[in-house]
Amino acid sequence: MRRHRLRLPLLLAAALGVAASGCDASGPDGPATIEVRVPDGFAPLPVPPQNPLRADRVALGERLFFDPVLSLDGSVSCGSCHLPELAFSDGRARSLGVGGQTGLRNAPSLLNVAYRKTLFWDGGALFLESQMLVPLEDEHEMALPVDDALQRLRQHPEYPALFAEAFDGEGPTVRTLTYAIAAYERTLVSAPTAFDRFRAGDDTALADDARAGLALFEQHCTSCHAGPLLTSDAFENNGVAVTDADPGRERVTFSDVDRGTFRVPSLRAIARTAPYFHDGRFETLDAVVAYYDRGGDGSPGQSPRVRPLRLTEAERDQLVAFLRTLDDAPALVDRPPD
Amino acid sequence: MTSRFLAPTGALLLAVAGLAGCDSTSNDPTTLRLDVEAVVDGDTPFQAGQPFTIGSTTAELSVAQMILSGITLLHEDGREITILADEPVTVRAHDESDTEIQHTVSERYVLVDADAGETVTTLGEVPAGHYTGVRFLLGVDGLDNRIAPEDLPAGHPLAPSTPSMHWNWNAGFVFLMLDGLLDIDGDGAVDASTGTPRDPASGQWRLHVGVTSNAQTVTLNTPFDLDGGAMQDLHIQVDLARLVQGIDYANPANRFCMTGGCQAIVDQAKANVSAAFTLHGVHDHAM
Repeated sequence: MRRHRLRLPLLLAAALGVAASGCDASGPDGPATIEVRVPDGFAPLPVPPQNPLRADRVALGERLFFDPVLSLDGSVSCGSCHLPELAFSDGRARSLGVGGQTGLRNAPSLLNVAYRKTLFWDGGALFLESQMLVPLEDEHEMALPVDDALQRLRQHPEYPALFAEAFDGEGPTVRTLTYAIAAYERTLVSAPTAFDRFRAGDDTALADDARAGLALFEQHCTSCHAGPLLTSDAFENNGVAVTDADPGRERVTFSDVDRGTFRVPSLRAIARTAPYFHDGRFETLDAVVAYYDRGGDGSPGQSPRVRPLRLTEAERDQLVAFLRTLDDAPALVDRPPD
Repeated sequence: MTSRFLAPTGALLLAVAGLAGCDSTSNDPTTLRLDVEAVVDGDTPFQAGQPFTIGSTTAELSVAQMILSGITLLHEDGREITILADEPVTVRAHDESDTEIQHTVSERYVLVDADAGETVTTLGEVPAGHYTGVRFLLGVDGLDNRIAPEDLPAGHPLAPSTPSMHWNWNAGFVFLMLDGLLDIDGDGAVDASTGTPRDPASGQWRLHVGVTSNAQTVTLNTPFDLDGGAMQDLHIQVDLARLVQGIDYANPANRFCMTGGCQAIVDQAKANVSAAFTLHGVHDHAM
């Protein structure tokens, strides 16, 4: 939580910086907005015109994100399963919701979530705003019907005024609640990593073992983990067995060809987002690399991209060393440039 | 020939025709409303929480909602007059390649909230005359089914509502939502829900139909007349029991269907749709 407490002043500082250059909330140019710096190579941050990154809106969203008022018994918040210090994952195989209930899947990192085409491991949600309502109401997560959530917010001593400020007089509604949290989530962008500095031409940014690991990565992994975000953002069957309770993307497409397919996760900050896979079955990067090295479990529908790599132990270590360079820790996720 | 009517535009066009000399009241437009009434067991008004029968099975519903769109009046002269929204709204949508785009929702949607009573919606001004029938879609078609509902203004039929007609965990809307209880022990009274879907001991009954391929066109070839200068209600009945007949409710798996993994149930409901709707006539309303 300490990292979170440090973020708000930075966001406000960014907003104030914009305001100082002429964008004042009461001025002719409209409310102050947040500008999020993204690493070189990233596309400009996608921000829908319907929900601009207003500073007041982002600040409200951040407060809501970490406020357990949005859970049935007041015990968990969005931030309980998406911790900033863990790149907005939670370190558990499956997250704990109200009453200690567990869901089906591992809480994914929210880092760079604005860049995802779709949300959830199965891509079911198309928009950050719509997505937010699912954990809010899911009985295994926050278990609070949205109407009850809005009622609480309307009766809160501070939130009505904060909503009115961020939404030009509109109080808590489904639209304003989802917009505020989504606006905050869009600001969760990686800071540059050693890998980025290496790509930019700094040959000293990666140690020898990581450089060797990068060569192995480019040889074996980039058909799925490509581009600056290190993901195709597609859905693949990596060979792990699935159950009827969680058949993967089949759950949302209703097509059996999607059985066992899940989103290819970004590898940004991967060292901080253990455990791994949709159900958190692997606790370490070494275990993940070993899984792919042996060519997966061969479950029905396994992608042909997952095949035995026949790496030596040293090569597996090099690959893990490279993966550890994809982390901006201990920097803040939206730290200003050095 | 197809005409697509926005209510204000329609009014403007007809006003222009009047300036050109067509001053007969029969040429005045009709202010048309759509009145959708849910019934059960033939002609009995549906009431939430009240038992009715599906074949020999007793049932009751606490939620009965559906989305209608593409409402098209079939004029005897061959014109097809499609009712559009008064105010098109631009929102986010995902195209087929999952690229986020800006999309204008111009279709007129009607959220039939049967558990709250009759649904009466003003469709706007349409030409008076003799019509051979009406056509509509039970469902949401095309990109409209891949929008961000949060972008819609409050009060729009597709805007977030309770219960939510948008799946949220999945793209798209629930076209037909039925939540209730069934008699599973044959004693003539509905049984309580145990809270566990598909539990053989549970009376819970849930049918949520979505996905564009399951949207169903309904054509009611029943002639009617619309009088110029009048406000009239196009009265349509939907028999909820007829909509879900032919399903073996003794099988617990058939009592809980959220579209995925139960296409046979969805297909049966789709097969019932046309027969479940009837055009009951046109009723006058004072202007």
